[in-house]
Amino acid sequence: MSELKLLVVDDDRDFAEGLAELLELFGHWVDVAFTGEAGIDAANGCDYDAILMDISLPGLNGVESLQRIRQSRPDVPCFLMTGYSADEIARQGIEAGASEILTKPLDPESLEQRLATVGSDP
Amino acid sequence: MTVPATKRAPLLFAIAVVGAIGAVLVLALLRDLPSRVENGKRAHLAIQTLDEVRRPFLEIQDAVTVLMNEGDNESVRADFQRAVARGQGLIADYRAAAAYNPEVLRHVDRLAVAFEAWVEDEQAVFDLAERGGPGHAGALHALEAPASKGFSLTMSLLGDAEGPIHDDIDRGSEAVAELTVIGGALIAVLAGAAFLLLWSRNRTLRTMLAERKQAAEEIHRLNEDLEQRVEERTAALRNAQAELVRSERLATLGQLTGTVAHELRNPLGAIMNSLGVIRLKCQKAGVSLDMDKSLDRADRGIKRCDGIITELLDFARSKGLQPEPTALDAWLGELLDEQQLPEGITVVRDCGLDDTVVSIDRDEVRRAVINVIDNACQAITNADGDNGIAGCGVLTVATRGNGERIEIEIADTGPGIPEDVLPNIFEPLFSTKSFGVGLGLSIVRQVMEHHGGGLEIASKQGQGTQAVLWLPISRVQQSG
Repeated sequence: MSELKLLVVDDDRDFAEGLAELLELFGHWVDVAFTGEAGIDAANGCDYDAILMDISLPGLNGVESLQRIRQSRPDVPCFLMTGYSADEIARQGIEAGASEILTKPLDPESLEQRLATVGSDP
Repeated sequence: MTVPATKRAPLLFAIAVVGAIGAVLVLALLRDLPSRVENGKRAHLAIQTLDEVRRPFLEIQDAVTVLMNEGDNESVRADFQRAVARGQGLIADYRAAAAYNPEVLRHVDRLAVAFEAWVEDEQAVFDLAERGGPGHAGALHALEAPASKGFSLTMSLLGDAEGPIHDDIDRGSEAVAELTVIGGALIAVLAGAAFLLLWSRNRTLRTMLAERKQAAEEIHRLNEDLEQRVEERTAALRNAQAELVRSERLATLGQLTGTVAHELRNPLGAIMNSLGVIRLKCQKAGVSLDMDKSLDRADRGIKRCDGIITELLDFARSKGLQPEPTALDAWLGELLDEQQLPEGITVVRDCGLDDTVVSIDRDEVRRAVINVIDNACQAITNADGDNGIAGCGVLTVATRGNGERIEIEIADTGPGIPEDVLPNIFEPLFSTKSFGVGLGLSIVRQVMEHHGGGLEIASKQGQGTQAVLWLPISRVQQSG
């Protein structure tokens, strides 16, 4: 598995940091942002291989943030995460260009499998 | 303007009766019946008078005979004169009585002339007898011989008139008979008309009564109909109210569970991530702390919590249907392919809908189907082996058209549902499982009902369970 440069955006620090640590153990390089705005700044400042972003964020939510990021990074794969089941916001997320909607809690192994498909894309 | 049938009938009868009477009268007049009857009456009178006239003629003849045998005397002369006077008087009466018929009148006239001539001759005989004198007896006989011829002539003429008079009497009798018949007919017609009129009135009354009865029945029926509709509306209103209360409760529950789910899933996610970290760190450090079982338990706990949250969210979710045309058999096949069923379960597919396309909300029906398949798998894997090898069994998924329905049947060879449990399986929050909130079948039924269909479960202990998820035939889309 090749090392990926990943961005995790979630306002739940325990979740975000735990996920970042897990991904690092899988061998990736991970940045963490706790708000949508911080996530947009980070995405604009670095060329990530993939972004994992919570939908329910204070201020700009995940979908809005993704729309902003798409302006400068139209191709970066972005996984939106939600505690809800697939809902209306999730549909908007897909329309905004999300690769997939992931429901929390994330199963580490299946998450790694999904990221592997990102790594294998040209 | 149209006259109602019930009022038209008496009018027609009245016209018919008047017409019949008119026709009878015209017929009677044409047949000259009244005058024939009248003539008959007069002829009757005439024949009586004729009989009476005969008597003085005979008296005259008797007087003449007495005269001839006994000779002249006061008494016989007086008898003769009285008889002549009565004869004349009766002839006058006879003439009056015969005036109705010119033919008879002519007979009377001839009779009167003959009578007068006869009487004149006999008077001469009497005059001669009164005068007496020698040789008068011979002269008297000589005179009497021609005079007696007058009697014969007079009597003969009297008889001649009898024929025409009797003819008139006969015609009169016939006329009376005809009139009787006509009268009878008239009475019959009137009686018939009266009967018809009464019958018609009776019929009208009967019709009115029938109409009134029908109207009463109609009112009764309408009342019942109204009551039924009121009951139906009341029931519908009650249902709508219950549905409203339910949907409000669900909306509240939805908001609550939505928030709770999100709030719970974040820490669950954090725990899951941390467990993953611990597991990986142990692996990387190469230390074996024999923690796998503990970590697996923790994982399962998280997944169970997540399952409960999913179930609650699904049940509380109140989104509208988003139906799409779906080739049911193909779609169901793909769905089954995706499922990772426990080992020991053999899947039998018996799809018989071919390319039938139905309009369904795929996400919703998928949820329902997976839910039932999960139940079936659990039933098989949790079985204690009474009904075969423990944890092994057959899951049959079949589709078919059944009358007005499209059915998906999911059958298992598990232990079946106990009889006392069967009535409760659709109740929300009812569960026999040691985990879960008991919303599964409620959700499945809700999904199918949203599609206009339903869920039916048949089960016998020891013989497995058959769940039929059905859609109304109206959901089938015509291809092309």
